[in-house]
Amino acid sequence: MKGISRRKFLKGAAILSGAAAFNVSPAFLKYGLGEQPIKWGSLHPLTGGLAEMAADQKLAVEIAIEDINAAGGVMGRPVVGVFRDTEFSGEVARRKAVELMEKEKIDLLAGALSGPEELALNDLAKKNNIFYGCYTQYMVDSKDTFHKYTFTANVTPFQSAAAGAIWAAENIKGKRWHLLADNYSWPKMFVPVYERIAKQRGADWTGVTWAPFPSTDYSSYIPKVQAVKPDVLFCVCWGSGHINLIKQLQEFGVAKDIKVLFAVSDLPWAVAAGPGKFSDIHAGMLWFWGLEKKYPATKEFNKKFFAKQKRYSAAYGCASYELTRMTLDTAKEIKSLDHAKLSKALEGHKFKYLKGETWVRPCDHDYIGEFFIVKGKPANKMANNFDHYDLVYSVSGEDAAMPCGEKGL
Amino acid sequence: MEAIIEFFGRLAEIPANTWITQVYLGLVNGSVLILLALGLTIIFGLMGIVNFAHGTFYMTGAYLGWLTLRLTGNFWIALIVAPILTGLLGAGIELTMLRRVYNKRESVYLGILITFGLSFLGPDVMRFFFGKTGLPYVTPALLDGTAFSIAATNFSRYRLFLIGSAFSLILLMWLLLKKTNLGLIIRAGISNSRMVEVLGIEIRNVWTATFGLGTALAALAGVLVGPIFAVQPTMGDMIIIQSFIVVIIGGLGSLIGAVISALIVGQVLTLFPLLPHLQQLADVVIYLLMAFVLLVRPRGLFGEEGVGE
Repeated sequence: MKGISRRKFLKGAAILSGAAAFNVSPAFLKYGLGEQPIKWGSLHPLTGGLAEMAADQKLAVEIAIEDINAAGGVMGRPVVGVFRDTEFSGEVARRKAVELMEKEKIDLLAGALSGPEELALNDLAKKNNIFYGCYTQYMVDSKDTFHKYTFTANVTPFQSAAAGAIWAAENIKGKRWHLLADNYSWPKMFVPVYERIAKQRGADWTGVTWAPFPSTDYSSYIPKVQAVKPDVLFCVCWGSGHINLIKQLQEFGVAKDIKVLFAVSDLPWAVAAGPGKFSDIHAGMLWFWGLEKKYPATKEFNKKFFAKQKRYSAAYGCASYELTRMTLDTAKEIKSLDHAKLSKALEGHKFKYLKGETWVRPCDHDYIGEFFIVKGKPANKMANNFDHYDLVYSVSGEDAAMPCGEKGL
Repeated sequence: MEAIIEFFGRLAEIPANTWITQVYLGLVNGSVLILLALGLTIIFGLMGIVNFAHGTFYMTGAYLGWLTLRLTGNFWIALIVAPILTGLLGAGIELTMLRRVYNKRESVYLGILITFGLSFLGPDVMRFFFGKTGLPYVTPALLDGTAFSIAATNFSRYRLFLIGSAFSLILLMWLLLKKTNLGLIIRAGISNSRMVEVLGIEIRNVWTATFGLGTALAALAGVLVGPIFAVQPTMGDMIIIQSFIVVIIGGLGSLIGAVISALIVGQVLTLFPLLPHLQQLADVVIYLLMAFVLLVRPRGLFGEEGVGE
């Protein structure tokens, strides 16, 4: 240590210690008294088959937090997102949520893209009597799973199915309905809804063609579907199966003779299928970027998202943005992060973010908002790589929701 | 007895064009499996390596095909370039990784571990460079649409092309193996690689070329399925399982076994959804078939005794 004086060494050590202390110090020392950040714990499957959608969710949450902080934060405090990767596993989601609660001391918990993650986090929240914000399709609104502090800005499988069935009943002359779906639990939730609405609306329900899950090739099932001669073919599948089915339906010219509706679809799959592959096919969507023509707030969101990702967000990005905003804006309004008070305030509260007015139904916490039906464009009508659809119909949230009394809640 | 009569009765009700369509689609599935299984069985037969990364090379071929298509706008160039590039990559991996473990104890297991590791690495590399969801392929205009129809079954140009490509490859492979010196060495190596070495032939170079050839075949399958299947990082996961089943049913190291077995499995996968009361077994029927073949004939339909033990 020749050449360094004792004075210089002590000075340097003090600076280093101060910097280290600053980093490990309690937040109020970092931010100043009264500015301790609010920690929004957010879990997404950032690795695994749905990683791109999860990345959209995460970025949408970050944009929501930026927007909230730009408006002064919550109770004068900035919001900070604390993110974890669920690795597309319910068990990992639970473990990391516990870590967020115990080590990071988050104020609010949110997350999930898949059913197992949602079930695990909802169960954890229920056992600990804490708030849980669900980003994905809301499937915990039954008597056994309902938790008074769980909220969502996404629809239920019932709403997705009902919206598509209502569109078919009101717009398609032919009344023979059929379903082609992957054979696992989520698509199975759609069947009783189609049966119910077919009965209510005088449609002829011809049944289901089940394909193994996961499937790369649906071509073996297409002749079976064509043999039924449906007027409307509902399709329920996810991820790579969705992309495969879009390509193969086009290849076999199914959409020329039959009205095809994917009950739930999203932009990344249309992009992956290729330009024009969605042509003449319909899909139900919670949201898509093209709504910017109707809603200025969507245009703002699209700008921010595109600036960072060079593409538009999946619909699940919208759900994550809206859930984050509605929760934290409500906390700001009532000046409290108490989970019971927050939950009470969210019930029945009306919001307007990336689409028309939405609200949370008090009886079951169903998210009530427009659900959109889009129609695919041919390749020569697409303005850019993302311009796959036109908006052709929308179903109101109330019309598509299961009546409260039926759930026994 | 009544159930059997009812079963056959319902089978008879299925229209003829549905059967025709399913058999045709089964031939398409079988053709893809032929390309994958040929590569897998050549590599195993000559080198004794169970290539768990075969699905990754299939996926790599699809991605390199997409990239070539994007750069050149020409599907035919992609069909040639992507397998060549993937074959070179495969040869490089054999030279730099697999060759290091041949003389070690437990080389078989080390080879498995290396290829298993590659099967995880490959998709993540593709996600990093190409994104996580998938890449769009466009069917070449020449092959778009229906070629002809028989009894209301539409035979798409592209799928007929796929079948034709697979059978052309079988012919080329037969010519390579039967009519060339390299083929002679490969066949001799499959039979007894030690003897080939003793005769002064540098068997390791043959291994490198064979591994490259096997991975090139997988890549070709990847490019061919691009217009009809989703091209994404996990596209190799399911088909590699089916390919292994084909190779096991056909017999490890047997080329004719790989071809016949691929055609059988392709038909089973496509016809089972038609069968009354048996559709639920469509998910698992090929595993049941493999189990049955192993019980009845453990070395596979065309396998030789001692190979793979």
